[in-house]
Amino acid sequence: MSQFSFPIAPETPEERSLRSRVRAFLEAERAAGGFQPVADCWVSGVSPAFSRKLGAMGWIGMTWPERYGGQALPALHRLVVTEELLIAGAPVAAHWIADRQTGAQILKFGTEKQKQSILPRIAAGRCYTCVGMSEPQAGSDLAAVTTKATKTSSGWGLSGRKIWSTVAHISNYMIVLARTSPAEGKNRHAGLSQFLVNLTLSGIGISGIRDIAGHTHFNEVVFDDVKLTRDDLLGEEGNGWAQCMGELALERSGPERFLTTFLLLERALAELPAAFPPVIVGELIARVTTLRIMSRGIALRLQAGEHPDTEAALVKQLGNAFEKHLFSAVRGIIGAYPEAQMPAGLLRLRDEVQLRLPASTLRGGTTEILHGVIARQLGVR
Amino acid sequence: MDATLERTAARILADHRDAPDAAWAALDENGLTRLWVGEAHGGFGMSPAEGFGVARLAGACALPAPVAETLIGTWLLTEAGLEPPPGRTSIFVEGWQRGVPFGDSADHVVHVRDQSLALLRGPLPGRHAGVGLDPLSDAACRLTGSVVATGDMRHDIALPLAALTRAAQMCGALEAVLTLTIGFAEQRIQFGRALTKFQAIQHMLSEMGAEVAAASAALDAAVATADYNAPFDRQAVAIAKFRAGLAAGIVAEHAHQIHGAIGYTEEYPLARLTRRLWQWRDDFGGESYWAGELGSAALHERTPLWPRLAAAGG
Repeated sequence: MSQFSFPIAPETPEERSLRSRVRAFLEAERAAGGFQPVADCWVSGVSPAFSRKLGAMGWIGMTWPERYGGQALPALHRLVVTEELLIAGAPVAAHWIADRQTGAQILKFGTEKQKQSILPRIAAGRCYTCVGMSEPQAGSDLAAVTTKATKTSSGWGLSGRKIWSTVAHISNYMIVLARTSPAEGKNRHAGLSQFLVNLTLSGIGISGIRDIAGHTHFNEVVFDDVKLTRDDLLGEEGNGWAQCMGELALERSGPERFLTTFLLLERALAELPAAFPPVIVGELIARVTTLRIMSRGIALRLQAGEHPDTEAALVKQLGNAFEKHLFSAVRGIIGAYPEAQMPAGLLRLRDEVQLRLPASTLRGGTTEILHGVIARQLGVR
Repeated sequence: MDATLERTAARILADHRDAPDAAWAALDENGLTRLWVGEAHGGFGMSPAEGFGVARLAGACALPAPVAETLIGTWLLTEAGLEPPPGRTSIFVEGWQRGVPFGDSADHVVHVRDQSLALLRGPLPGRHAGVGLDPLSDAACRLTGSVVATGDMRHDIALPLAALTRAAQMCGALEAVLTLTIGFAEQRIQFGRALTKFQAIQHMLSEMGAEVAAASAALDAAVATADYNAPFDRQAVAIAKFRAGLAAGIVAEHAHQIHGAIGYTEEYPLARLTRRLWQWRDDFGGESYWAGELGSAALHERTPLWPRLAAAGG
């Protein structure tokens, strides 16, 4: 009936039991001082030690085949784990991108050798990866990338510059979108390819960039005639754009697009239980539950091999709007009291979320780009 | 929704676009107004989702006939162990309505007070406002009429059933408004270009699309929990009615803005849909009512929200 489709999948008993196990693990970790909850933890909370613990629990790469370190579990099991990690504000940034999208790309397009050597290390929480899409002159206009891979006798020579690459400074690999042949007339999407680049190769320089909150999570990465082998080409030569779009569906549809600030709401409710009008809390519940329904539907479709790219854009769009609404509602409640009467920890968290919020509608596709994706699906662009 | 049923209902509604009585008669003849009649009373034993699907399709053309009300009324009668009568049935849920929708053409009215129910003979005095005329509410008929039968329902389902049915009608109307608006924006030329070529218009259409998708997902999730033999999942219904109401406001506002003055005329078909959206979002509890119910239940526990949400499922 609708042009968008989100299959409905009620939570199974197996999912429920997994959820309790993840929750018990996180509570024990927190109690033992394993981590301090942070907002936006999938970008801000880097802890290789914590990632290795999650790997040991089997909660990274859990949907992958067993021979590559996974457990061949349904996509919704991974969703349960990621929801609980985000709600707890656990330090998951080191492995998040590898688990979410790079692993899936390697599984789909990598050589057998790459799968065998990289995927089990990712699943163990010991190998991290980052995204190599944006460039200084190619942000929203991604097809304008100028990083270039040129064929050599032994493979490829890679030169160019990637930017805003979250966790590149601790990553082992980056998937780089590069031009391998000129655009075909007006079709700039042609002639692009993806490469799986080992970041320890010579000719690669990684430098951190401080964000407005004073954190260094993203980076500029320079490639100066880096020697790549033929096997480092990921997928098909010239198919980079389509592969990138598939990767973005994984990147945009998950709960990190609507649950990164939820801990601010929980904290404020715990500190000021009588201050929240039921209508405000109810609206937040209704909106976030709808997003969960949509996100689960997309996970099922991705698992079935479908391409819910527009639905993923919808989740990111509505999820970003929800997080801004949540912040504004909670800030409004807190702001009804003189600041000196408010718990310092709550105010710190509020301010931390404020500083992180502007990034949510920029990373992974700006609001404007997502509008364009949705408008195209509606046939008006 | 079952594909054959959907095709049949859609064809009937398309064939009789400007003849509501003929549309009603064809839907009724095909049993589509009686999908929620229990098997004990000659029903077909279809899943509740089929009736919600018909309500959604009828909502998409703002059909001025009591299709949704008849569906609801027959479910309530079945729930009370009473035989649903043939013909047009309307509903009056005490405390939630100012009048009886389509009461002036209803053969019967199901009057609900808490879990008690009385079947009244229609039609009722008063004028049904119809579509495209003031006032906004079409529930203008007074509740009178002789009692044919009385009974008690097993569960307190009248409000959630009526609210979820309105959410289904709204989802149909939301999609119809989006389609109508896209069609208009493609045809309308200003500054030498179709409106769809303007990024500002594309962004409004995209926001409308996102709202329609969200309302529809929340509806589907609530409909999946509906069961003839159990009370409604009140939280799922609250979310569906809230989300459809929220979408109705945004979608109607953007649709009128994109259409310009022509959309503000009685003649043009947009207001037929937006008037219904504005009415249905307030029927059987508006967004604030249902959000308030959700919020009160959550705050009452004085425990973190997330475990409750996760336990309720996505």
